[in-house]
Amino acid sequence: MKRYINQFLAIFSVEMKALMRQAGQFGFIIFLPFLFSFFTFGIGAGISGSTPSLEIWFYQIIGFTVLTISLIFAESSAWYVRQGLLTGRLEYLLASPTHPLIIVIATALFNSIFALSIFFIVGMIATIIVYGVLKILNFILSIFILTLFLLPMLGINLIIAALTIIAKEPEGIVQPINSIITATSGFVYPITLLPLFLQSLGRSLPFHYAVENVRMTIIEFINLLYLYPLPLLLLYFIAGIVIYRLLEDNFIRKRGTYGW
Amino acid sequence: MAGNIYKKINKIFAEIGRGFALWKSYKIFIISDFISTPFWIYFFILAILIYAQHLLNDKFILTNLMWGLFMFFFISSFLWMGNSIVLVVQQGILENIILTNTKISTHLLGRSVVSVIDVTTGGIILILMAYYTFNLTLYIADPLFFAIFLILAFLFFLFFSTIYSILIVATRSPWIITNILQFIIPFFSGAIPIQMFRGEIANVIIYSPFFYIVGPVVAAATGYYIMDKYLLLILASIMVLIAFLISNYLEKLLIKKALKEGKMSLF
Repeated sequence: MKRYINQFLAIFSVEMKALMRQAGQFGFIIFLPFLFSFFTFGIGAGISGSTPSLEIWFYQIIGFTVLTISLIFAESSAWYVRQGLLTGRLEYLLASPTHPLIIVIATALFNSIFALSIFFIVGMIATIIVYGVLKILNFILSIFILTLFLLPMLGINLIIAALTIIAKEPEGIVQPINSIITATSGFVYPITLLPLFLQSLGRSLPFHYAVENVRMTIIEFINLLYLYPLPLLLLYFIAGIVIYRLLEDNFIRKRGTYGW
Repeated sequence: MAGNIYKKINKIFAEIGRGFALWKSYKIFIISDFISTPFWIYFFILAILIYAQHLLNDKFILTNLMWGLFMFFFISSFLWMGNSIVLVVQQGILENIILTNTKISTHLLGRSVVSVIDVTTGGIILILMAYYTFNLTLYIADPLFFAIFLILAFLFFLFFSTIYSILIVATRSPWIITNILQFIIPFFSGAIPIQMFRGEIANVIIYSPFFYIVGPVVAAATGYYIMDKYLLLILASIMVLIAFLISNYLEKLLIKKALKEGKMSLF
């Protein structure tokens, strides 16, 4: 057990050090939801001819924040695999007796802390601006709701990492998946504005439920009935681990190659 | 003199050839662009129109937004082209470019092939999306001036991305600046026509130099000129000339600094 804890701490601390070296990046990611939401607010204000409601801005900034987190979550493992390969670190990791699940848990925990810190800072500012301190407790509760939904997101993250093993270059895989997730999950507009088949696509992914539940918890209160898809969405997490292990075994370990 | 021109033309063709080779070597990106662009179009249009959902059926607004998106693709693509210089420096290629007496803007011309192909692909997908999903036929109201203004915009952004690349050449995370600028510049450039905005916002946008480059392209496409098109043509040409002179001056300054102090940075 002590060995696993040590392995976990080693991977986690490497990720933390990498983040500390790029503090500007963290600052920029916090700034992104504000940038996007003010951008759409500005154009929206311009074309609607009136000052738009702050509630819509809040709807969008929470959406943009969960979107940013989702995109980081979707591609982080893919980049972890790719950069590990480029720097030769992946080979050392695979050659070492480190259990792959430890790598997954350590990087996932790091990503979760990173994601939740972003959500905490942006969400807190936005909640206070629009609703004052009245909704702070709701907001804190929404952090727990978001944490729950990070698990199925992690599953998708692993599936993308597994696909990167085949395609070699993460960007070509990540871009289309990101665009589908972004457009169909209803982060910054209701998915009812989309054609039916895109609505169905959005509803089959965990991101839609994550953002809707988070927003609903802040604005109203937690609605347990709306959490019903969560057990089903956890299948993404299991599928992610199974698919990743399968491709890792078949491509990297057995054939000793990366890609087709 | 003639030999000099021949050498310059040769360099330009070599760079264009490199650009095509670069584009062909990233097949997965071509496929990925085809899949992702329609989704991004949906996202941008709906993210903006959530503030005025009744305008989703307004052909005038949608036409303008679609052309605005086209210019967003255009500007974004050229900014990333400027951003690519950092990798060129990290790989030690820039020193070789300078040694062969090639201008940075000429080198970027090769990368601009990828940008032009990307923007063209994006434009085609945009037209198809507008027709099949928003029931909107996009046409170019003034094709001749659209082509002229687009060429001027290409030249302007080629020089602008040279200026931009010189300014960010030594930054550690240029993608942060590029990401921000790719949203700010289209907003302040008339990519979304100023007649759609309230007076006070429009009055700010007209002071942006980008307005006299991007605005005319959209105006020629939609047919709504806010001033005489010949006057716009003169203003756009002046902007291109200014961008050329600044990029030339900064490039000389960069090379002078590199030779004198041995560092590839203006600052």
